Amino acid sequence: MSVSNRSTLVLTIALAAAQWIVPSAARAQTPRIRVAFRVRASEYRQAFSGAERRTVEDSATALLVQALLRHFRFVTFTADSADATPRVLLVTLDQKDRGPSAPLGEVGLHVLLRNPPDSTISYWTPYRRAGADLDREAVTVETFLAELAIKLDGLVDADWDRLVGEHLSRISIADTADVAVWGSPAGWLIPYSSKQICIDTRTGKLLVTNQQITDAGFEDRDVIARVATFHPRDSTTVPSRIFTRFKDHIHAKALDPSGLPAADSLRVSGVYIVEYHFDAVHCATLTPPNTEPNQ
Amino acid sequence: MTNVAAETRAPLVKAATLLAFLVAADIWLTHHYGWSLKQLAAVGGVAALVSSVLPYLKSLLSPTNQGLIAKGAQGLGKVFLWTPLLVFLWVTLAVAALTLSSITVMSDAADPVAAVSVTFPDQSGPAKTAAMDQGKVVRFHVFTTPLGRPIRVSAPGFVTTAFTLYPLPGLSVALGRDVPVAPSLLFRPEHKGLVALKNRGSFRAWIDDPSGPGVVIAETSGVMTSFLVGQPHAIPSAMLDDWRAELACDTADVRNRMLLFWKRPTLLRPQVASPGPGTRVRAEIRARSGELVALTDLVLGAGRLIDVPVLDVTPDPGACQ
Repeated sequence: MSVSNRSTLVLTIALAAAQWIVPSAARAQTPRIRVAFRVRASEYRQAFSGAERRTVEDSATALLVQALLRHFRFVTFTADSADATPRVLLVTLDQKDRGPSAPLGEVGLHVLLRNPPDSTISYWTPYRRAGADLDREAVTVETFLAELAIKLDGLVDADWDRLVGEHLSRISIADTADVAVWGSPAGWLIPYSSKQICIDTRTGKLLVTNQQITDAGFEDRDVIARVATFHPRDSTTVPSRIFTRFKDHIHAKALDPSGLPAADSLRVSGVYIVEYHFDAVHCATLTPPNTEPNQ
Repeated sequence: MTNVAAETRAPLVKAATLLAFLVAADIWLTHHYGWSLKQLAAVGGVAALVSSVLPYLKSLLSPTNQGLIAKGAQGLGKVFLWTPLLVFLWVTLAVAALTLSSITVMSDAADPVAAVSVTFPDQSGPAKTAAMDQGKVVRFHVFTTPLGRPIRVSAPGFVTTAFTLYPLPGLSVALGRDVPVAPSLLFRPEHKGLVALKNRGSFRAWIDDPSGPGVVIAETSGVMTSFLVGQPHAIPSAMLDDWRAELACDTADVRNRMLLFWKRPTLLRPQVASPGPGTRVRAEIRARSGELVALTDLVLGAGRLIDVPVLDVTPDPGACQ
């Protein structure tokens, strides 16, 4: 290989890596969640030997992470069990009705989000209908993972919306020190662009929790806001520090601005995404660098 | 006078000895070879006929003819009442009666029996086998000893049973009475047991032995059905009705599937001789993970087809219990 060819190759790899790393760095600001998958339904648990079960759970966790990354960018998911993040999304395959007195029936995916100091748990989506455990096809590692991949691919918007509504909407996506309250009526400038977290600005909604400073002290003030983009006409209309920092970022505007207090009386305590649809138009799906087209 | 009386008594004693031989031989042959009492009746009838017609015959015949007949009779009498011949006949009969015997096998069972076999534990070699027609009796003729000889009688669907064969009485065996019926065992896994079997779980049935690990009757894995160990049997409709009642609390879909799995058992060839009534049999289903999913423990009763539910360890609370 000639020197020039080698240089080209190095450059190509560097460019590809940079493309991969840059969005990763941006995503690094978003909350990180460790994902784990567990098999608890006796039908499936008993179908695997100890080693097979570990393989299944590890592989299923990887499948889940892939599926979650395809649908959400406002949080980051990892399958790394050594990751130190306290947030854990535990997806469990179990009977819909759990407990020793539950009759044999539907099996589905339960979701437990540990988001210290809180935990939420819910039944996410059916996996196998009642009675189908008597179907002839045996559960093996291969068939199970193939079935799970198909199941995850086949999840509909309502399933993902449920995951957001019941779990992911409880995670504050921005450090409160990074959010600015500005304008009249007050609006919230979020340290992400809509493209960065791939939120569909037409449908996305945020819950901003605030503390309003009053004469008597503090008062909680929660506001539901729609997602807009911060495009000031020019730098003279806004303070320069806000302009430079939040230009083209998300501008959360209250759905009902009436009665909103002045911006300087509000202190943001959390920003939560309560309605999220992936903006497939502006966001490409994640692709590893080595599968990118030639740069 | 004394000589004349002795001369007359000796042929009479010999005649009685010959007659006793004939009767004894006839009884023995009838018992062991199935000759009926017709032979004995025939001998007795001929003797009675001759005795009764002899006085009339004498009056009808001329003295010359009477003399000829008497001579002929004396000649025959000399032959048949020859002492060495009588001794030979009796010795022969005694030797035969002490060393030859028979095993008569009949069936009390309602179902037809294909064949019966007799084996001899005291010697190697092929078994004696005979086909058994419906309602017929099968007879085996075998050598024995005056002190008896061990034998084993076996037939498909019956527990192989040991007997001692003595020469004179022989052995009369009724299948189903003296040779117990070997029940066919229909092991019927419940819901979770079936699911575990589908997912590469294993089934094992064994004869319980408190002093050891037990003797495995049959085992298999990865087959999602019930299991029939023993002779194939049609499942009686009464049994199906019981199963339907058992599944009454399940959904129609589950009920139909379960019945389908139970109605079409996998025939498992027993690894040992079929266990008989009174034997304690255990069976279990283990999942691929090694977890015990279902088990059963029963003492076999009489009957040709025994329904053995293999019960889930953690039963489904939604099912009828």
